[in-house]
Amino acid sequence: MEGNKVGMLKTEVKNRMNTEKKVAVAVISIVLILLALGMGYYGYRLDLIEEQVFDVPWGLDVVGYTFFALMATGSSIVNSVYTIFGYKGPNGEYKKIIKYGVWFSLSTIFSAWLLVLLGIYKPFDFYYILLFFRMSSRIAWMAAFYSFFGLMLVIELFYMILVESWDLLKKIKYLELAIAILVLIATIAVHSNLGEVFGSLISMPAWYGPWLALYFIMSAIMLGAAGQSLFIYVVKHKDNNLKAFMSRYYSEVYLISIPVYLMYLTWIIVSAWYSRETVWPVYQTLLFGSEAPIFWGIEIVIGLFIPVALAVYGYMKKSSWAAITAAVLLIIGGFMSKYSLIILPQELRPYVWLTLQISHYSYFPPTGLIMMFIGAWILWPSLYALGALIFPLEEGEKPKHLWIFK
Amino acid sequence: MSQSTPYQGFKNTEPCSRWGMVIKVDQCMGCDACVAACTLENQTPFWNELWRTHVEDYELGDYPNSQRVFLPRLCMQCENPPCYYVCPTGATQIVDGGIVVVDEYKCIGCQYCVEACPFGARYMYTYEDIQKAKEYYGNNTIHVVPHVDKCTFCYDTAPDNTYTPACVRTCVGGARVFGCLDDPNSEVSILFNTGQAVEINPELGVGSKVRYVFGRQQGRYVKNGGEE
Repeated sequence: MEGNKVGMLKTEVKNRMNTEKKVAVAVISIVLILLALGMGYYGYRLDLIEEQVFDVPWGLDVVGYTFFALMATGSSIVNSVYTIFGYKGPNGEYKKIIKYGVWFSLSTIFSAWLLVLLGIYKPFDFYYILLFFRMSSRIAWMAAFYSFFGLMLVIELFYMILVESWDLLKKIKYLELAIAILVLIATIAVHSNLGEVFGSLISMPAWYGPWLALYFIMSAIMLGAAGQSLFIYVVKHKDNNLKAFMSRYYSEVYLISIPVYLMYLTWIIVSAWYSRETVWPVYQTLLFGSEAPIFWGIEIVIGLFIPVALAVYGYMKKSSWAAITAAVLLIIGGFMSKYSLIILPQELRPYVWLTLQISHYSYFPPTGLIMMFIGAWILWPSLYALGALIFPLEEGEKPKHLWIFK
Repeated sequence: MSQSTPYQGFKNTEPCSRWGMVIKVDQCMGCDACVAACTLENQTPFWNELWRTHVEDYELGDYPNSQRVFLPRLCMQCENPPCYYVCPTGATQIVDGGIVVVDEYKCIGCQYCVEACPFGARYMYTYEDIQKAKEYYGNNTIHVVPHVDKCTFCYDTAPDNTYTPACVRTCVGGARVFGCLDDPNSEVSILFNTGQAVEINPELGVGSKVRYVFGRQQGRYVKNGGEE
């Protein structure tokens, strides 16, 4: 009798501690989200009065936006392995993490949206894009596809939560698959269009061409898998079986995507060699010039080769630390490669005007942009943590409040 | 005498569906009068060294076959303007006369057009620039909200019924010729149609309506720095 009471007391104390811990995390998350938004807005205001970097109109804000957008959409492609292609893991482990994966995609896209909104000069006139939509503009389509992508992710997440308690949804045949296919269509549309935002510019020979959309898709899969594996690992680090599954699964994704990405990268460089005289100087600087240490050191060795080795080890030994380290390195390399891709062609900007002209502008982001950028990075984990606390994302977990909340 | 009379000599008094400009490079002496006129006419942010038109100074070739060339640059007023097609809000518009202009109220400042222009003819007119313009021009400022700015052939500011940009009106050496490309007898049409006026970077396929005549330098001018 006494022992029973002590046991109940222990459980109650443990539950209360858990609740207190969750409340603390929720409060910290909300504070950090507000801080991120505040920093972003302050950075935007600062950017208005700071000296403009006219030579590089698309700076750190666009790099950060591209990075987060690729990670969010790439995560969505990784999710489709479960939602469309039906892979559930050897013992159905994937069921335990899929809702976290969908929430990761949705929460990550907000960081991209924050940066792209604050990066334009008049963010409060953003709705003009939809009001005066110009069909030939890639950015106009970007806005349309992002709206579609965000909406479909919300629908997918809500469906996954609601289906746990609404039997009616289970009865509608193929609804889950239809939603998943629409999410994948939105994802591919976003990628292809994002590639063409850069790739359709004849003024920027180093970007120009049809290959950028393919490059972005491969890069996105790597970044998406790396990002979601990190965040899900934080939530599920106590489940050893799941950790073993995740190590193997994500290592497998890296081992498939990294070689294909490398193939595209090689193809791009070889194409640049045979391309116009305005293209090669950019890649020459990247491969052999001032950017070579970053390219070979961070983007290739740290960002691709070491992750491959770690992924092989993680896959063979089901090693969590190897998979997690590979994810961190992939994110670092992935970010730097976007930085090089977007900034370097603007710094050099080779063009023929009577003779071949190459500018040599050295870009350093202004303080306002740095603040916006840090804001987006703070928003990224904070929003994810808050969602993980308020949405029922566990397998079989039913919503208790307002249809979708825990 | 009406206000526009002094400019009647340019003969650009009738509306036209395709305005064009020819720059006779050999007649440009690099005095920058056009830059000054444009700056005052259009209140461009000279404090940031940003211009709607400017003159570049080139030294081509190696001694003894070298030469110095002044090359005025401005928006090429393309027939197929990349800036127009990429603008997401329709702020970049093609108005009467085929002139590409920017509606500053519709421009959200995404700077996609700045990236898309192959001639680097666009720049951001910032909030700070507007404040600065107020210091210089008082209440007569023509830029009200931040936007991307570019040459408009003085579409908004040229005196009534003249259709002649400030740079053309000011050019000391008569290097800039402006006129209607629809009129086969206009000087620009003749220079365009006889092939004397050449398009810079025609492989871009944008169809520039601003072209260059290398005139008496033809034959002496060697494109690839000394070798034919």
